[in-house]
Amino acid sequence: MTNTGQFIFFLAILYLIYYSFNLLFDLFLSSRTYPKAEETSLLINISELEAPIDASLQETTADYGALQENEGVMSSGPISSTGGMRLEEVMNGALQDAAIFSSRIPS
Amino acid sequence: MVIAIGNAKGGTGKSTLLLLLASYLSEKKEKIFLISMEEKGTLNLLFERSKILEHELPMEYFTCDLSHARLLISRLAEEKGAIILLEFPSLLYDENMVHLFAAPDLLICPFCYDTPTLNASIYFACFARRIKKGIPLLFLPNRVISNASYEFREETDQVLRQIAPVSPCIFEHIGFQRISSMNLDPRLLKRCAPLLELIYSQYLPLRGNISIHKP
Repeated sequence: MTNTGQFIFFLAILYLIYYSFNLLFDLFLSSRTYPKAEETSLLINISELEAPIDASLQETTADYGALQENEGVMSSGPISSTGGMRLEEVMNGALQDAAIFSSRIPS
Repeated sequence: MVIAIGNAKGGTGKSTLLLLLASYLSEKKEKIFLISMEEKGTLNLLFERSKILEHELPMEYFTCDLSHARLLISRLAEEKGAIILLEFPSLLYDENMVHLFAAPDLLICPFCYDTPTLNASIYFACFARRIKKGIPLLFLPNRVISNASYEFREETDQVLRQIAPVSPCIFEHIGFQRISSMNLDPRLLKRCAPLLELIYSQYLPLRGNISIHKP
């Protein structure tokens, strides 16, 4: 056997030992130290994320009430809306406007 | 500057009018960007044909979906002195349309004098005004048959003028039906030149006297 052949043979033996050790380690040792993925999987409840957020700003309105008493600022009640409109409402409004104008055209 | 053309009903000649306007403005040495938001719309079809025929177009053409339109417009608006021409989709029920209505310096609504188109045009204008109260609007009677008599045309124009000004009309012509690419017949452009000149000089903001009625 040539020097190259011997070298490849010993290298193959070395790799075999190394990977056998790794395989045995994964099979018997690592399974004990690390719990299964199912047990630790992160569960996120979407419904919790989508739960409505109370935008009434109770603390702020309480402070505002105190300010009103002290400094005489007028109040229109607690804030419970952004004042925004939904697209459906805009479209319905446009439909009503259009109906008014269209009715003025004789047919 | 952004000029948009839209109507809640298809088939009112939006694409043709945009092409005419783009060709006319490019003759004025303006840098023109043309944007369509309908991937399978007429403009895209004409552009594909022009691409095959290797036409040298006087404008740059873009297609994008509604969600990216705002970004594209703001990017193109950075180009100094450029005019962006937009074709609004007919379908208004999309929240991205709200942002789109904020963009134009002039919104042209081409319409025909048939009842369904008139109703759709009035609705489109009312929708635009609901979203942006002071939006500069212009009604443009399109595809008007020259030798036909339209009953109640004057009354219709009077009602429309309560919403926005009404420009002179574009008469129907066989040349419009022969458009097969983005390369327009110069005779067609010449035929519509007086109206396009009027829009350019009278209705485009910062170009001439702004006489847009704001109720």
